[in-house]
This record gives sequence, structure tokens and C-alpha cells, in this order.
Amino acid sequence: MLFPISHTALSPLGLVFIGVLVGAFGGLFGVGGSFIAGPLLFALGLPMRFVVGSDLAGLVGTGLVAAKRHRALGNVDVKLALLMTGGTVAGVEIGARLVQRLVRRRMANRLLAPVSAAIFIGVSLFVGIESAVAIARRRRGGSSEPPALALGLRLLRLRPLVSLPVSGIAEVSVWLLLAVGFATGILSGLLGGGGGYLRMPLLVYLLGVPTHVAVGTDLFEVVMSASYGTLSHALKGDVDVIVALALDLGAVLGARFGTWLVRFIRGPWLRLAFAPLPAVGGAILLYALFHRGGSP
Amino acid sequence: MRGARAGGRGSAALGRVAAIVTYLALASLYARFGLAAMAGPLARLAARGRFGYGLSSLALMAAQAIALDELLGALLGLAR
Repeated sequence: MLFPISHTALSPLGLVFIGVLVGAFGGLFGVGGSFIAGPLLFALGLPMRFVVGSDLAGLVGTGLVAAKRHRALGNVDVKLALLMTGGTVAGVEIGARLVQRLVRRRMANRLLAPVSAAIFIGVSLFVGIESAVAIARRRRGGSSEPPALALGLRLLRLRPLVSLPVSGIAEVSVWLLLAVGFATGILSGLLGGGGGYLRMPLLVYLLGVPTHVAVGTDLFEVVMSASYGTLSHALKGDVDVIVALALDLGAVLGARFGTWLVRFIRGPWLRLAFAPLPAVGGAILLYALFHRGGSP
Repeated sequence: MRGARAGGRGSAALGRVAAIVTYLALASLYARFGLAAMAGPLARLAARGRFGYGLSSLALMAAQAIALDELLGALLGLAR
């Protein structure tokens, strides 16, 4: 089927299948699934600039459904998500402008794909090693949460400070929350997706948010950042909403499955299961780049 | 008694599988025909490249996701 907005011929059922995967990962790990959707859309033949914009649009629907389900399970810290939003929105806008510059210089595919792959693989390695260490510590009878880095960062008394009872945090600097939002926002605007592949680990390791609350809160934040990103990319002509609608068809089914499954998996095991996925996305991206070359 | 309970569980599981298959069949039909029907008007809207296209995209994504989730929920409810 020809998708007239991006002028690309793609299989709608292939898009639905990608959507099922994305939705399942979203519901299970609290990430938008862009680390899988982006590389697969690129491999399917969608140009990188439309991959970024359309994937963001798809996330609005998927995130909305998955966040609604996590809210019902008590896994969403709305106060934390709203406080991060300022940083996220600023980051998304800067990232989206950088994409435009790269497209004008015909460097979007050549630069964005390898950078995405490197970040995905880096996140995989870090989360994999940390969660394996946490599981080993738990087996020895030690406490597993919150991580030492998060406890150290809580000593930063940079005002204003807020308490986040849903996440079990007595006091934390608002600047730290804005910094986490800003960092993930830039990646979201630049590489597509909601930035959840980075935000979920940052919430756990930097802020010390329990894994299940990090999953739910991240989904809420994904909806906010993806909505802003969709609007921003649509103004620049980088969103194929028909592709996004097809993705969402499968994602709704996948999200239900993922949020059902999350109840049966403990925190460190959930992180360990998440660990290899970004690296798989990075490998698909590098493979597609190698076979398609670096045209924008 | 135990046999009847196991039988009940079996038919509920079968019902859920039937609900998911029904959802997938409806979604496939929509993917094949519904999206194709929307392609023309949305492409014209996108060509103008204005704020309205962005807002319409957001509204469409949210509306479709909520509608499909409710549909799937209703089908699974019927299966139970």
C-alpha cells in the first residue's frame, strides 16, 4: 500500500505486527518501544525523518492506553511526571530542530542511525550489568533498592526540593527531575520515540524510583513528550499519520498483553529482561543502514 | 465438580482466544480498507503543513487508541 504522506510503499500488516511488538514492550517495560519500532520501520523502507515523526505519533496512542492501565495498578507518579515535563518539552524541541538541520545537510540517516545504535547498545550494557548485580545482591540477602547513586544524588540540596510519596522519595531537587526530563527529551526529539529507553533506567538509577513505578510514570511522560514531539514534527512535515495509525492497531493489543504480564515479574528481573532489547534495536538499525546506505 | 470448573476455565480461555482473533480480523480489515480510505484527505491536510495537521494527528491517534482498547476490552468481557 502506498502511504501518500511519506510517498513510501509499505505493508500495512507489517506495520500492525511492529505495533504488536511495540505495545507489548511498552506495557511490560514502560518504554514507548521506539528502540524496536524505529529500526524496524527504517528496515521496512520508511525514510529516517518520517521514522522519527511517525513513531512519535504512534506513541501517543500506545502510551495513552498503557499509561491508563498502569494508573489503575497504582504505578504512576503523576507529580514526578508533571515536574519532569518542563525539561522534557525543552529537550524535545531542541532535538527536533537538530533533526531539521541534519535533514537540510542530507546527513539525517548517516548520523542519526549510528548515534541511535551506539546509545541503544550502551543502555543495554549498563542495565544488563546493573540488574545482574542487583539480582546477585538480592540472592545474598542484601537490599536491592534504591541504588547507591540515587541515594548520593538525594544529598544534593539544590532548592527547590520536593517530596514524591508515590515513589517513596522524601526530598529531591527539582533541578534533578528537570535534568532527567531534558536529557531524555533531547534524545526523543533527535532519535524519535518517547525517550523511555533512557528515562526508565534514569528514574531507577538516578532518582531511586521503584522499578514498577518507574515503568508507569515513564509511560505517562512518554504520552506528554510524544504529543509535543508529534506537534513539533508535524509542523515540519515529518509525520506520516497513516503509518502511525497502522502501528497503533497492533500496539493496543500488545499493550494489554504487556501490562497483564508485568504483574508477574519482580523489579531487577524486569530490568534484566529489558536489557537486551535496546541492543537488538541498535543491531537492526546498523544492519538496515549497511544495506540501504546513508541517503536522508 | 472439579471437572466442571476445569471445563469452565477451558471455555473462558477459548473465548478469550476467539475475542483476540476477532479483534485481529477487524483490525486487519480496517488496516486494509479504512486506512486506505483516509489516506487521501490526510495527505491533502499534511501537504498544507500547518498546525491543524499536527492537532488532527494527535486527536486521531488518541481517539483510535481509546476506541480500539475499549473494543478489545468489550470483546474480552464478552469472552468471560
